[in-house]
Amino acid sequence: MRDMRLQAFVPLGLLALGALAALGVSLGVGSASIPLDRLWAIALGEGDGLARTMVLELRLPRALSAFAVGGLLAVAGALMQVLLRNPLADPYVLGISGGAAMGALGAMMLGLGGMLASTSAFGGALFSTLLVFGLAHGRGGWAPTRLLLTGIVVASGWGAMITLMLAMTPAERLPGMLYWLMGDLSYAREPGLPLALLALTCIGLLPLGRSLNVLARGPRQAAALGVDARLLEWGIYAIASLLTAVAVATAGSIGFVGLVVPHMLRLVLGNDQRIALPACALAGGTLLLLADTLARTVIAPEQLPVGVITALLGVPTFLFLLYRSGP
Amino acid sequence: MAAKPLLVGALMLGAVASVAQASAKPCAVDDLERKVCLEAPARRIVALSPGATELAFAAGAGDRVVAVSAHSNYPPPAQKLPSVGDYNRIDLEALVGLEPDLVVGWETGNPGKQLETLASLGTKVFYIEPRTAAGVANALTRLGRLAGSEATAEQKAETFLAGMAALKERYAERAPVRVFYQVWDAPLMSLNDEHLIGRAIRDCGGVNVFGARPRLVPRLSDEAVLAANPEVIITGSRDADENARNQWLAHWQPYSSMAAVERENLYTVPADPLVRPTPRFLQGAQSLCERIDRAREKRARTE
Amino acid sequence: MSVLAARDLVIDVPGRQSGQVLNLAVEPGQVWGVLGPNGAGKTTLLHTLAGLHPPRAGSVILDETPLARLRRRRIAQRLGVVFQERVDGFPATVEETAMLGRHPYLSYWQRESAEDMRRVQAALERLDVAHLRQRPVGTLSGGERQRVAIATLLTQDPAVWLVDEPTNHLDLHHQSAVMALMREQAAAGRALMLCLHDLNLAARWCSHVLLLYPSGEACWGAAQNMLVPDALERLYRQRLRVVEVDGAPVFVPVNG
Repeated sequence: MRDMRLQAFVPLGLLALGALAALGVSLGVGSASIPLDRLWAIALGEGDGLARTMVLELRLPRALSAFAVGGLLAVAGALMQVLLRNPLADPYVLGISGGAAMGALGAMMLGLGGMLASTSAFGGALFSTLLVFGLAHGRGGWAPTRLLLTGIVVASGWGAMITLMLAMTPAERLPGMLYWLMGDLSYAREPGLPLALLALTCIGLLPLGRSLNVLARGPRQAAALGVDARLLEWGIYAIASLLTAVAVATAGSIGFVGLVVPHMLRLVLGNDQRIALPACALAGGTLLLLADTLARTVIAPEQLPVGVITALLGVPTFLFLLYRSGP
Repeated sequence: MAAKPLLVGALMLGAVASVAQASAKPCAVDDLERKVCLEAPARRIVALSPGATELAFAAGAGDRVVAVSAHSNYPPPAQKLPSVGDYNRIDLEALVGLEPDLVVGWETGNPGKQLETLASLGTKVFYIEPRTAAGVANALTRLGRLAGSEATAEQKAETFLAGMAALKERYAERAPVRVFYQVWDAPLMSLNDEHLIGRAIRDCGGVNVFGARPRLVPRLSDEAVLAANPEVIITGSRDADENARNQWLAHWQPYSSMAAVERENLYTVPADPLVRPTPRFLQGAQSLCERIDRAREKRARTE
Repeated sequence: MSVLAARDLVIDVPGRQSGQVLNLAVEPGQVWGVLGPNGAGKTTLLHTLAGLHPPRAGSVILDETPLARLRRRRIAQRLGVVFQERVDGFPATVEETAMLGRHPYLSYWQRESAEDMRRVQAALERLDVAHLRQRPVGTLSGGERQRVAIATLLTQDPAVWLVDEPTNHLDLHHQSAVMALMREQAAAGRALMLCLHDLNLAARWCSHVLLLYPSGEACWGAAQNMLVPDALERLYRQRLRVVEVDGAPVFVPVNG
């Protein structure tokens, strides 16, 4: 199947090149822009102290974090959409980010920051996942609509509690919390874990891609074609939740990537999960990387929350693609 | 520069006030440019920000303050007064129930709608928003006028202005030092030259590296600070958050290429005197100048 | 020797107190038609036989082994289903859909081979949908989608075919073509069980018939023994007349 291999590798190769280009841009621009030849020198271990510090200690970890978080969110979104067989599903609709926000903001309200807030966000996300899953599953049945509805209701519950928390927080702590809610990569300095998780997930899901294609036709059809649908559904739900939790703990709640990226790719590349999932990882990562680069350069040296940029970039692109693909 | 017209303004206001006193109905123009007149000197004052509380006490009206906003910790007697809530969320019912004849509000801090409601109920609201040293002095004399303690207030104001002038005299012309004043950590924030603290940095002979930013409190990235390469990083701290502030400063330690880190010029200054526009700002500015001067001395030594 | 058998099987129709115990064996070469009025449990029976719906009692035996003891993948290599309802939440082409039939035979890391592609192509041609190969299934008409679903089962090529309403949405020409395909598969040694609502299709194409009553009663046997007016009139609570066309009985509902 030479032509099918090609079909898979051409778009993935292009996306990977795009990701590399985005990484180059992101490392080069900022408060002081660094041209390509100097970037190259820095990569080879040369270059002066300040530029080295900027590129290697500030921009690189942030860029890798942005890429990893974007990839995680897009893959999580794609998985949720297959699970619910609903292109409107994304990790945020299911209340996962609401739980994470509760965790993070609660820690911030108590004056805790950094790792503690991230850990708390992670805990909140997993708690919310279990809550939604437990309530939606109820007695045996696991209809997508029921899960979606439970998620939406739980998410709005979190929303109310977040508002309450914001209202009770001392004013000086509010900017930090609001930036968290809009998604902010300024403090994402440890890209190792999210990157490793993203790579592991992509590799781990590769052999399951065809099963996911079958699952997209509904659990009954999937079972008839030899897929243990129940086990696969549980697995996807657990993985998608974990990816979301790590992404949110790293960069706050960044909306839109999980919804828009899988959808755009589906319009362009079709719905074969063996291509779609790695493509989501690459495209989601590139999108967030570019968005974050814009967020820190548009009104440099001042900063914007990256979530604002993802929405501003994503909405028109999405609407355009949707309009063009329409019947 | 901006201080001069304001100083003139203060004198003019003083003139207005003395006319008002003649009729025993004290009047003053507040920082929203509205003329506020009382039937008699205020006897029941509520201050809606910690700064307003300090100003009212400094203006000699401390014994007439009946309630304050939360965190009004200075001077010590203010701590014993009842609170009407945080400055940004005022318990309006409690406030009205106290039947104040003068409420000292903060235009950009207090919720505008609540204060409008208060005014529509007939309570006199006097807005203060000092942005300069002259503005602080000015606010003092006007509050003194309204509270009938003008003499105390004017004397305080004069002392304050003299102190600020002396400070400027002493430090302003010294060799300029690049200063980064850190307002907050996450998100990372500083302030520009329009800010009271920004002006103080200039009076101390410092150059605020983000002084030219258009926003009063710009939101920045670490990278921007690195690129600006300040010689000293200063942040305000209170006893309660001393540890957190030291962590903020410790965050910069790994960037050894930055002059401030290389020369170990990472300092905290007591926050309250510096962030509240009150006569205590003189002490705050003094500590600020001392830190900047220390950085200056270290530079002299290294060069 | 049967490939698919029901042993003391009671299907689980919600709201039905009891049901008749089914003991039947489907053998290669047979085409079974399941007849019954709406709500009699035809689809439930089919899903139970496919192991997709747990029975109330008894078991389904596939190749001498109880279905419950087999893994889904193993079952799918021997038994395939065409459902009445299909989920097309996501866009997929006709070709991709038909290729799903190869899923039970491919290991996790394996990609579809040229041989698989050839089977897909043959199935699409057999069902007269090859020209729609690159079309998204969502854009097809009901009859075209039905043929794609059957093409998927043909690609899967199992020993046991369970088809719910094979002629749904099909025009007369394609009804005949699909039923001919069913019989052709039986002749090639497959065992088929079809839920049908058209008596005459059963009369013309099925070797065996199972009548399923709303009460839960059931009877089954060779087609010519089962398709008698008395039993059918009781089944549908409808008077029927029988005429003969080309040697096969044709049932026509009459008033009164």
